[in-house]
Amino acid sequence: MPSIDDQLRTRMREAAPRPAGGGDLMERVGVRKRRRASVRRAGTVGLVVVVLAGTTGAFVALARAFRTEPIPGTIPTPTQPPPDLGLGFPICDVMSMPITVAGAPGNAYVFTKATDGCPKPGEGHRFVGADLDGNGTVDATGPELTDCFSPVGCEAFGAPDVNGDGTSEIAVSTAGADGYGVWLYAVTTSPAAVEPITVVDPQGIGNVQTGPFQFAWVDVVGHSGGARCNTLPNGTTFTIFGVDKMDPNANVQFTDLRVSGTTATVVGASHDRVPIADAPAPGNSLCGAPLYGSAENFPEAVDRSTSELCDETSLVGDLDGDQVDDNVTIGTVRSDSGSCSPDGRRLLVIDLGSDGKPDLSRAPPDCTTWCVPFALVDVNGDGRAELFLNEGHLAAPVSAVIGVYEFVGADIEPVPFEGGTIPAPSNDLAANRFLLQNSDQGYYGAFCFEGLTFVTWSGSVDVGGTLTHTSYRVFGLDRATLTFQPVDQHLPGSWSGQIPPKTGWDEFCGAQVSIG
Amino acid sequence: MDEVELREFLRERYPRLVGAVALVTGDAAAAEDAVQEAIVRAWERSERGEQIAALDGWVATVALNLSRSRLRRLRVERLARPRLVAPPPVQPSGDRVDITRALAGLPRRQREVAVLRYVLDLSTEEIARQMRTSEGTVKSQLFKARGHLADALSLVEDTDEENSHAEHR
Repeated sequence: MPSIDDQLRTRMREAAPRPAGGGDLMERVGVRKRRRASVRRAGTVGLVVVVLAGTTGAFVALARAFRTEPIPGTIPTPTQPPPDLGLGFPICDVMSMPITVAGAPGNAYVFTKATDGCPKPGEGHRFVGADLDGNGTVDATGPELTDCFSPVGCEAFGAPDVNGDGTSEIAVSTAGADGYGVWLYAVTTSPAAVEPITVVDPQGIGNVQTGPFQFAWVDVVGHSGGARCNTLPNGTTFTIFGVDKMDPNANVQFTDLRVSGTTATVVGASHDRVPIADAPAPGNSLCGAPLYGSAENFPEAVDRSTSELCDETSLVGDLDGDQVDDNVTIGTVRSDSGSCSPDGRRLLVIDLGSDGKPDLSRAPPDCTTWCVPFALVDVNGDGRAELFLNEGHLAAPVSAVIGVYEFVGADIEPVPFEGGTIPAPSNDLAANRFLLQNSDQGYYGAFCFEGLTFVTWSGSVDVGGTLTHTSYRVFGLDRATLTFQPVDQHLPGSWSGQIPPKTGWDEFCGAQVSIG
Repeated sequence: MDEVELREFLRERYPRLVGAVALVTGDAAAAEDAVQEAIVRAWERSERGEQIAALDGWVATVALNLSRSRLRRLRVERLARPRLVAPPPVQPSGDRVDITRALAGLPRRQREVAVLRYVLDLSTEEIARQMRTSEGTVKSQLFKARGHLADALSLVEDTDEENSHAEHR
């Protein structure tokens, strides 16, 4: 007769539903992929499209990212140019930055053609050029820069090597109040040229607009965007990202491009939802290259103004029994400066329905040394998850002190341990607490068995891993309390033999736990 | 993963993956949706140069996570709009009823572990890696699931103890 495992394997495979089929599955998956990509357009693409449109009206439409008001104190200070850079006509408002050309030093310039004086920033005819051999003269000039918005105008932004080929690309920006639209130019030596990099999208991923490559460099309260390089075994990918920040999380859209010569090919796109603190930020360098001009002092850090808590741990479960997941978070309140101090005040936040709106915000009930949510699981079968809080990483050998609570009315209340006649194992510290411990000094634990009954136990394990002595407390199913019953050590062998000396607490009564 | 590899994966592995996820969720259409979504995500990752070592397990786990999120959304929708009633599921027949009923009696986590093990043939080590838990936990969950399923399906225990415990070592 086949083993139970083989029987299960056979019967489950035969019982597994089959796909409905119909149509070309590859085509369906491809359509889904393109649809995912197009859905992600909003953030980064919106910026790029609007910046390319280059009108004040367009900027207003995207006011969250770009505004055209003056930027106090950010007017660039032009560097002193060499005499006309060998161009043969007068120039002004020159900005320069070092570049690398096939591993050798060179220079990039952004300058304005002087005609009867020097036009104001954002006016006149402005260009990007490159000195390919570092001799101080421009060897190649790109097409005239357009959409250089007042009052800052177009600036040298940075000289990253976005494809790792040893030659810098030239990044040129146009500035708004909150950030920049950045163009990329390729430098070639044979023939000497500075040419705009153009986006192509052969797979139809569609996350950026094809044509001249421009991306956003912005960081405001609700939105940020930038770019970075990812060095992979098969080459360097240039990734642009857009972040929509909706406290406490951020939606991040990434678009990956491979840049070769004057072509940036879209090779992928993805989406992530992360805590705001973990979202990428533009910062003040691009692929490791410093930023120049008014972007030089672009803030390095993520805007944390929308995130009140740091060092947070969250658990999800049905705390109030309405069959909708609720969110329980314990975190540290940020200081006024935005820093996350280990001595900061801890806060317990309960969000019923996980709709992002806290329903209870209070100090954790007992948080003298440490507190973090440990598990959120219904151990007594009343349909409401009990909240297990880790209330103390104490000195060795104790691993954790766990307090048990339930959400009643509008607050959490301790779930008392009551009754019982058996000798108390030493793992009940207080009326609603027990220990978790794994050490040579003994084992303390708690678990659920047969679905609904909650047990705390203590014991020791001999060198062979056999449980040599165990005492138990078995708690019944009373809704408001965990009432332990007198149970001696002669427990049914069917489950006493299953009690494992746990080596780690990664699961508790069927729920994943947070160790903190 | 290039297009040829993807086509082969869809041809060879897609049906079983859908079946596995459907056994957990009880909804074949939702399972197809979740598995396709997971495959697209794997495809995107491979285009970014990321390597997914065990594609079967990765896709199955992502699909199970997606289906869990979907169930949560459905629950919220139903609570918000009491008159919104899901269409009755297609009634399976024969042995599928027994298996479905037996699986439905398991906690979600045990159901997932059992399906990953018995339908997709993932090792306990691979299941633990994909579910981001310890192998001991997986074995414990599998042990419980196996016992429940054997009872519910009236499976007769093999007298050869070696065989009966082989899966859990």
